[in-house]
Amino acid sequence: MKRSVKWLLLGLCWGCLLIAFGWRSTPVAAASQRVLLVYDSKNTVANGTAKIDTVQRALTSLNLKVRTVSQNQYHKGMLTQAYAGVVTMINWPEVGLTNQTFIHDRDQFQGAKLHIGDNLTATEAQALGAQKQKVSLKQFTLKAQQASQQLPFSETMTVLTQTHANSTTFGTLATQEKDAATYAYGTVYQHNGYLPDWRNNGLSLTLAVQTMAQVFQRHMQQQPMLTITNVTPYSHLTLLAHLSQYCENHNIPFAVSTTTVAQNTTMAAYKRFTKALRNVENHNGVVYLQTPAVGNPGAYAQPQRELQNLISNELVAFAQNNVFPVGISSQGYWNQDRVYRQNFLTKTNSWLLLPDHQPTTFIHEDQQGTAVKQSFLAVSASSFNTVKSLAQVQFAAPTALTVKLPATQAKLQAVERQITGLNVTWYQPAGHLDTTLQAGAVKVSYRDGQYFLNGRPKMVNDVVKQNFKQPTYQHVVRLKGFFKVQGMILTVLFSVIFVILIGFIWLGRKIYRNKYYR
Amino acid sequence: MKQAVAKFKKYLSPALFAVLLAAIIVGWLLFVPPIHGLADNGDFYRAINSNGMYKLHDTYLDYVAPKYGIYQYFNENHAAIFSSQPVFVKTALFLNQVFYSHKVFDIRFMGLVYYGLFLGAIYLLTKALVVSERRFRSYVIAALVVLVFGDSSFTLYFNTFFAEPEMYLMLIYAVAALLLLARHCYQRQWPLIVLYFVATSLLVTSKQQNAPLALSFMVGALGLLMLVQSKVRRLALAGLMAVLLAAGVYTYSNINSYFSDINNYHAFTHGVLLYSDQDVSQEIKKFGISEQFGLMRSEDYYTEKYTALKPSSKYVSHQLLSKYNLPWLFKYYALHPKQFEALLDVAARDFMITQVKATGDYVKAAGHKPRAQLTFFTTYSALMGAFFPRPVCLYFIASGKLHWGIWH
Repeated sequence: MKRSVKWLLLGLCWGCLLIAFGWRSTPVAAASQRVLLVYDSKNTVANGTAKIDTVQRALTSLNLKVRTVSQNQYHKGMLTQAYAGVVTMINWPEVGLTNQTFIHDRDQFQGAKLHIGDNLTATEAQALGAQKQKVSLKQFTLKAQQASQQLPFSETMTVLTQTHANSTTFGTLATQEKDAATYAYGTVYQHNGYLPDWRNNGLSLTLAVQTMAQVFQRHMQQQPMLTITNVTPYSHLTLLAHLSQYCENHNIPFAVSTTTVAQNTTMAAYKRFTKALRNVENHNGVVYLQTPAVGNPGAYAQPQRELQNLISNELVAFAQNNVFPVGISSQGYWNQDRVYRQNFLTKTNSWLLLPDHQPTTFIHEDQQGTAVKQSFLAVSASSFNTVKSLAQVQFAAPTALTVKLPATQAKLQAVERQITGLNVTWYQPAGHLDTTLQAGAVKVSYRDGQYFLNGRPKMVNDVVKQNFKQPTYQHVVRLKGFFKVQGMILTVLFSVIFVILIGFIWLGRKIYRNKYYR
Repeated sequence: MKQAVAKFKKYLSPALFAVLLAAIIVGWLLFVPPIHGLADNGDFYRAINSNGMYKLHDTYLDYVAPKYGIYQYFNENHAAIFSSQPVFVKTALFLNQVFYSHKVFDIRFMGLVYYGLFLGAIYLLTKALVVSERRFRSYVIAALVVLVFGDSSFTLYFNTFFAEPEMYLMLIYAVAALLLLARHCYQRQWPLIVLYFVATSLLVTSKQQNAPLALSFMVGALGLLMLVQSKVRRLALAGLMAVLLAAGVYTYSNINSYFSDINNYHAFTHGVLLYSDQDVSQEIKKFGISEQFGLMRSEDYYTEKYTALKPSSKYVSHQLLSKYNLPWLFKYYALHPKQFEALLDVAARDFMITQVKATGDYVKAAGHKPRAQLTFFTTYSALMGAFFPRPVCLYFIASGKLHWGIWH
């Protein structure tokens, strides 16, 4: 009896613990696993690099660490069981996979497999429990429950037919013809997945992420987070304030992704900028610190220190003005660079990964992206404008729907219409986000809608008043006194000579003219 | 001894003495291996690509590249900027093809073109300063001319594809022409007047930032009107002045937006936003520019590390660069004279530091460290860099005196 009571108490305690910690960590943050992404070609002409970037970011948002190699870089034995899965990406079907070593290793691989794009092999089709079929010159409508979106015209696409009864499909492709056949968009059978096509946004991307989540057994479904991008210290801050107010009035929680400066932070302009960000925080918004635009940092001997100093200075200046970023937003390629990743990105456990803007500047590219506790996949909200019944769409990974901060009042109204037009239930950062951002001596945390600075709760409105400090332009010069005296003496001397010279010229002209007037 | 001195004076005028001295010093510097010059800072492409040449090695900043390739096929590269520099580059290329190779260009042919012009400039300038005197002091002046104008910090440029040598030489020619006219060294004035206009026109068109100088040279040319008496000659002179002005206007109008954006941006971030004793973000707001752009203080257009917003972005172009221009800057500085004076003082401080430290002066084969600096025949520039007075007002007084001195 005593033993049974003991077990009962133990069980109750365990249950309480599960409720206490498990409740908060919704969605469940699965442990990061490694995935190998192998692509045939970058095919930059057909926007292939952007597709690779989106696949990387999508996998990262599913809490997967992605190592990316082109088929030329793949060598025998690279695909070991240390990887939870492999993703094959065909960017240029005319070239396709030519590395037989990879194809052989992939066939032998026991983990999860996902094929994106054309050139599906017979072995892959067999593993998917389906037959492959090539369809040409079609314009498909992608449908998922009530939601649908028209896809651009496609020349060829390999689709699956006669899929296995136990396979799971995500969305259907249908042509506009009457009684035309429909095909599955994403297909998962056992631990094999297939996506006939990859697009960087819209309904197709959400279905692709659902397929990925199923293949890699990641269940992280949550509502999308509205995110305002293109915010910088130079932005039209009044418009940002209007947009923040608009979101609050419509009960829309949101995030702002902003860059900042580490210098000139005593200027009134910086105070105004941080005031606008505090305003965001006070209107149901959160701030993501965006990584800066890059010049040529690799030219410096210690780019690591540069980056560490940068984030530390930026964070200190923010904290002094009661702006508390909840994470870092960045273009995806920063995660594919060892220096950027180790010295900036991993200072937080909360990312918002934006699409790459070409050209990208690497310092030490290694294509071995890592993953953090929560990583939002940023997708342009406008790509969902044509999606019917967006409310029905499920987002299988943390997703940020982005709108750019407008530069004019007229465009602001269009953005506001766009936000309300999306008609989705938005992600509530205050209820779900649990983040930490630490650089140097500053540690900013965000939990249950409360900000913490170095462990102490902070209110956004506690503003530390600082006056503008004029920067000093004093230069340390040796023999400064000598040069000052020398300069003064010469100035006086030159001035006297100049006056005498003018006097002589005037006198000379007078004498010269008098010669003729006599 | 006296006879030797007399013979020396008889056969070697001060001007020829200066030319001989300069020829030996600069000739050794430019032509005797291992040669000297300035390494490419990334700007050479502007002069070489459109003139049918290309870099043989990917060397920048550290060492001087002695050889360049000559295109053997149709050259599709257009001139990046409008400039009169191709006149000199093409001449050097022609000489190279006649005397050396059709496939490889030796930078010394570029040096040779400038070297020839330089010796002519030294001759005219010395002649203008000493007239026809052959006294001891005349030779001292000649030696000083070589010491000052033959300084290696200036002549190293000859073995490069920079446009600076053209500017330097043409300025000497222009000043020498004015001095020779003022001192009546030659009976015929027209060759000197033509020389003045040719030199100033080439100078004005050598680099786009020189375009406004056309106005300064026009002021200088006004004095020439007093030299000519007949109406026809005055009309001809007015025509030459019109040509000079047109050259300036044409060069200015050909500044492409890319370069003018860079210049405008730096005029703002390294000018308007610096050395203000007030919060400059509030000051620019009064002049119709968003105060937020005050945060760009001290930023470079080509940011070396990281920046919150790239200056080449559309946003900066629309919201900042399109909102101010030259009159805006004039107005701003007119109302902030203290800041303007401080900026001029900063400019004056580095005015006499003429040797470029960022680029190497040696070829790699010479065995020097990357970006090694030459010290041979740099006495004048070293002295001036160290001891020349700093306050900007001195420059105004000195230039005023020079101007008056020439014409009176």
